[in-house]
Amino acid sequence: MIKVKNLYHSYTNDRAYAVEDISFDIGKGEIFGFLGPSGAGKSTTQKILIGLLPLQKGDVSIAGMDIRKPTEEMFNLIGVSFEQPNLYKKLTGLENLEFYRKMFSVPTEDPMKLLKMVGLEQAAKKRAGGYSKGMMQRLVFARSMLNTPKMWFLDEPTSGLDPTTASNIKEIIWQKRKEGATIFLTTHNMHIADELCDRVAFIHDGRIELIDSPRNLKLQYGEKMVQVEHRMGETFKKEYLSILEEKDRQRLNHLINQGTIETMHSQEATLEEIFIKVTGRGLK
Amino acid sequence: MRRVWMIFRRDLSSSIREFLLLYMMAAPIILAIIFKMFIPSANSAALQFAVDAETAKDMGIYKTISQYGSVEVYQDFQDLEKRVRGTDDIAGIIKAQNGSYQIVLEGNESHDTKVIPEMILRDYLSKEALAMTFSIRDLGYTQSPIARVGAASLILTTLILAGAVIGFNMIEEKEGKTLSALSVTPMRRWEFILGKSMIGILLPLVIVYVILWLLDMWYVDKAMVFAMTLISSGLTVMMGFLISVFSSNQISGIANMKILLLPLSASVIGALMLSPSQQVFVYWLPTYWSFLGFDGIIRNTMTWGQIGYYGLWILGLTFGMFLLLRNRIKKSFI
Repeated sequence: MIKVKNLYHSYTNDRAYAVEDISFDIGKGEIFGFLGPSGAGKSTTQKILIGLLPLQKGDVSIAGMDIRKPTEEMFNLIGVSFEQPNLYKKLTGLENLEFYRKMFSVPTEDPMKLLKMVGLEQAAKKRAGGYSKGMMQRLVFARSMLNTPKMWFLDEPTSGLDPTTASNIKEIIWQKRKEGATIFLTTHNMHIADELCDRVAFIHDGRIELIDSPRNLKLQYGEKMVQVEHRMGETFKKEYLSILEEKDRQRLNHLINQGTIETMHSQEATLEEIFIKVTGRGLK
Repeated sequence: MRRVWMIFRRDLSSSIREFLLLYMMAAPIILAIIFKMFIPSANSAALQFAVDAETAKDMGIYKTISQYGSVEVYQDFQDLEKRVRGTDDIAGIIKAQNGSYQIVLEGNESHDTKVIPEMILRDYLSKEALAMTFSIRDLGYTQSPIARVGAASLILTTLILAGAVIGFNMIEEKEGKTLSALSVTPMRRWEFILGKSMIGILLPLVIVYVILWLLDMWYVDKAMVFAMTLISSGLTVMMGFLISVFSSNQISGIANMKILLLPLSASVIGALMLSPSQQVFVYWLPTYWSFLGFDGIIRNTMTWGQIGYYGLWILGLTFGMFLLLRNRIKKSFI
């Protein structure tokens, strides 16, 4: 669905690249996570892909269409949910969607249906300027679905949302994937990426460090650990034991034989831990 | 065109919901209403007569009065009286049943409005008896210069304020980063520019006629007014872009709008105060040509050739400014 080859971009038109030699492919119906800390080059890459920044060097195609020559057909295919609430604050939520849908030349979704999906039906006739940050975020998200995009760009879609709403948004993303949408998810939230993505790319200092599925990354980089909580007289103690190390295995056997274990969970490395391991810095 | 229309409608809705922009759109009409209250004294320089149908039948007196000012004919006395009671100075002349002429006044008219009709009637009715010969020189002005210049200035203000409405809607797009959202739709660049410009084109086309109607200048050539307003909307759009390009928020937008009012004042003052040879110094201002155009139309001295000539200046200068600022405009919005 999307092919990126040797992508470079410099804001100063010199060799100080914000993104450098980025290449990846995203298959149809795949959720691809683009993970990296602030300033890593996530937004720059996404802006180039959606046409907000010019393509200086490299090749990018969406559904076989070269983004250097963007067509009406290409823009009808894509949907973008921005991180910032870029809405018309003096228009109501419904008016925002009604206005935006008229920009497309393909059949569009019913705005009220979308507002209902994101839980904004009660606020449909309220001015967007009076919305809370989370409501604005949901309206931006709903707007991005108006043209039923085949290629859907999501920039921090659950940022600023409460857990219930975030869960609802995740459900919608899964549903859209089932319906055949290809999703490019930009985030620094590793939990979201872990839950939603088929594959993730780690971007750091403008370069992609690795691309793989969260499961493979955990298998490759994670240590097989067990978290054990056991009774010691009147108190409880929590221990992390590796099942690969002989000394930890013996300790685990000992605790099992003692019969003092209260809880036991297998532990796997988080994407954030893997990111730190790969890049040497955190995602924040 | 659907997208252009939608962008225009969005801007209109947004403008109506913002007090500042609503005021900018309504201000020329409010100013025209206020100005109308001052026109009677201004118009006293030009005479106005209201005559009844009987008086109008006497072609001799009708032609004589017409030489001194504008004449309005009323079928019945009530209408004539209502007109005389209006805010401006107008003298009523009716023919009584005994064949004599009577002057109808409200009582608060200026000296000229009271005295001159008397003198005209006396001259007309007794001229054969006096056996005098005289000639009348008509300078061709039936409107007072103050009313004329005021109306043309109000029209220029309309154009500038319509430009400010464009500018402030653009600033809203910049502040809210909403253009990013539009840029990832099939909307084309020209559709955005035209859509944003529509409010600056359509708004003056309506308001200019309302101003002329309010100021009792409905006699003007409407087609010429339409052409001149349409041509001048190039300048309106330019103003809008200038305000938005140099402003990152509403406060700086207001500051830049004030700066843009300076050339507006310069063009009016230049056209009125400078000698024809010195007016070359204000040729670079599109507002100068626009002012000359509307002034000429209100005077009824404008020709289509002149409209074309002034139009070339306005559009040429506006296009030149766009060329100068094109990189800045691109960086700001596109």
